[in-house]
Amino acid sequence: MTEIILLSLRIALVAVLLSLPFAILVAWVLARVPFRGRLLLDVFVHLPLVLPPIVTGYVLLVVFGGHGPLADLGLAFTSTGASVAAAVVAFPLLVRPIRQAFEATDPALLHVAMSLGASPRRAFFTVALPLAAPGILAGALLAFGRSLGEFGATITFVGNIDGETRTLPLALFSALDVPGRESEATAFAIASAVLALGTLVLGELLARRSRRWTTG
Amino acid sequence: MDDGLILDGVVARRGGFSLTADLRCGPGTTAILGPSGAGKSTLLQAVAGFLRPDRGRVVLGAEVLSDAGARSWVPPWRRRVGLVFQEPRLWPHKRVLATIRYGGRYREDDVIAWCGIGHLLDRLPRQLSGGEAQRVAIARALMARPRLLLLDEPFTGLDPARRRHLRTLLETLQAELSIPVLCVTHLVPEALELTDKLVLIDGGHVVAHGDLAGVLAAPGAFALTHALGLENLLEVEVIGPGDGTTRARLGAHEVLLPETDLAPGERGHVTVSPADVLLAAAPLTGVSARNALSGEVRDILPVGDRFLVHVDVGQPLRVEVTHAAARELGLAVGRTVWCYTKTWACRWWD
Repeated sequence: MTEIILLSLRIALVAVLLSLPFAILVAWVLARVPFRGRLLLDVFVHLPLVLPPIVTGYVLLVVFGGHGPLADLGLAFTSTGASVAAAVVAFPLLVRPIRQAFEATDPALLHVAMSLGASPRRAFFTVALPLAAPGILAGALLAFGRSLGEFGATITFVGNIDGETRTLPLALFSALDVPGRESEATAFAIASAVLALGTLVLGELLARRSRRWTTG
Repeated sequence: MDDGLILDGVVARRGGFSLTADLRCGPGTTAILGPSGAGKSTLLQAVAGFLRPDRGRVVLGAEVLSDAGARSWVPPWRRRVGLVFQEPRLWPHKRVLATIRYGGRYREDDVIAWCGIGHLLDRLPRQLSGGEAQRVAIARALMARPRLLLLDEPFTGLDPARRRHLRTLLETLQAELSIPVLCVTHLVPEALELTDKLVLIDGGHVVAHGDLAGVLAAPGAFALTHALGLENLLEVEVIGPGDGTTRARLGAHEVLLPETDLAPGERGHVTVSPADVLLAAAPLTGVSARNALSGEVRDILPVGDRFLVHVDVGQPLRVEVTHAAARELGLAVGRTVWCYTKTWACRWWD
């Protein structure tokens, strides 16, 4: 039980850390960089939200699986692969609050930084990014919570391997499959619910603390 | 004009708005005056580099900042143009010391002393009052060692005491750093206390630039000076104090004005609103108004439901009268009239 919880937390954490830089980049582009095809990128980013997770898993298998173009990365049927599956599915939830935070930041705050000699890169890292921290935190926790509960894409892409890819939802699925393991299934369900709840509560507490520093 | 700013045939578009500007601003403060929507902030954006002009050149000192013809453009972060907005735009997450050091540490101790922010260095923006935040914003701009300072409506939203304080600060900067300062404002008195170099902008065009007298005389500037309450600017020479007032010479006339710091023999400017001048067809006797100026009517201009009468009293004096009054007086171009004002209706500019 403990091992399964720890594995789930690790996979979810790696999923968030892995996708965070991409999410920040995409959120910035969507919020601040006008270009043709922004709508297309927007739709593409939101796709995993509406696509059946099993389809997402299948796409990942086609790309990273045995005969896929990126098979050499060896992600299929590994815990890192589980993180990738979770990251893809949770990506829209990660991007959205970060994008909103970027959009809410007064562009004049960046202009001032540039007028003081800061390159756009420095202005981004010293002004835009710190001011978006509450949004980044909110997105990260939301994505973390979503990753903990990821099931469809995971089982399709990396299977249900004990000690490698069997996270809480997959363990619950396995327990339900075998007669006489109902109490175990209940324990997995409760653990999932507690973790999800804990993530939300933590997110709310941190949001309250961090909200103060962006209100000048 | 080695350290001045030149806008040479600049055309800059923002949204549906277009600004056309030809300007030369030397060292010292230049006030950009105009109603809202005139193009003042578009001008600042083009100079700061956040708006790329479609045409023309922007030159600062020896460097061409942008030249639409040659397709050259210096990005904002290489221009060293300081920006101070009406809203201080401090970064909510940075303390004052980190804020002001962001762009450099040019004359740090001096700047902190000038701006009077020594006791605020470890505060966050939300712990500052409006006036304090603005001084921090000015310090931040100065410590990056700007070659040009742009102030966007710096006086707006400050109470009179803070305005005086800010004016003193800007005068200090002018004495200590010989950089051009462009100050956008719609508050004429503040602008005139800062400088005698004015640029009038309206409808996306520079209507006039020069000193106050020059700006007032410029064709096309009248509607604007009217809106700004600046129609009459009269040059006088102080004779001396007289019973709580000041005696002064206005051309051939002697007038009584409010007290002033000017010494006898010095010249200064007073303004008087056209509505505060009484017009008479013949000299009046037994009136309380102290100042009588006679002159010839040069022009009668309809403005709204009134006439604005231009009387030449040695200098142009504009007087507002109703249509009925104009009829009864038999006003006509070429006629001699007498203009009366109270002492307290006249205000000193300098």
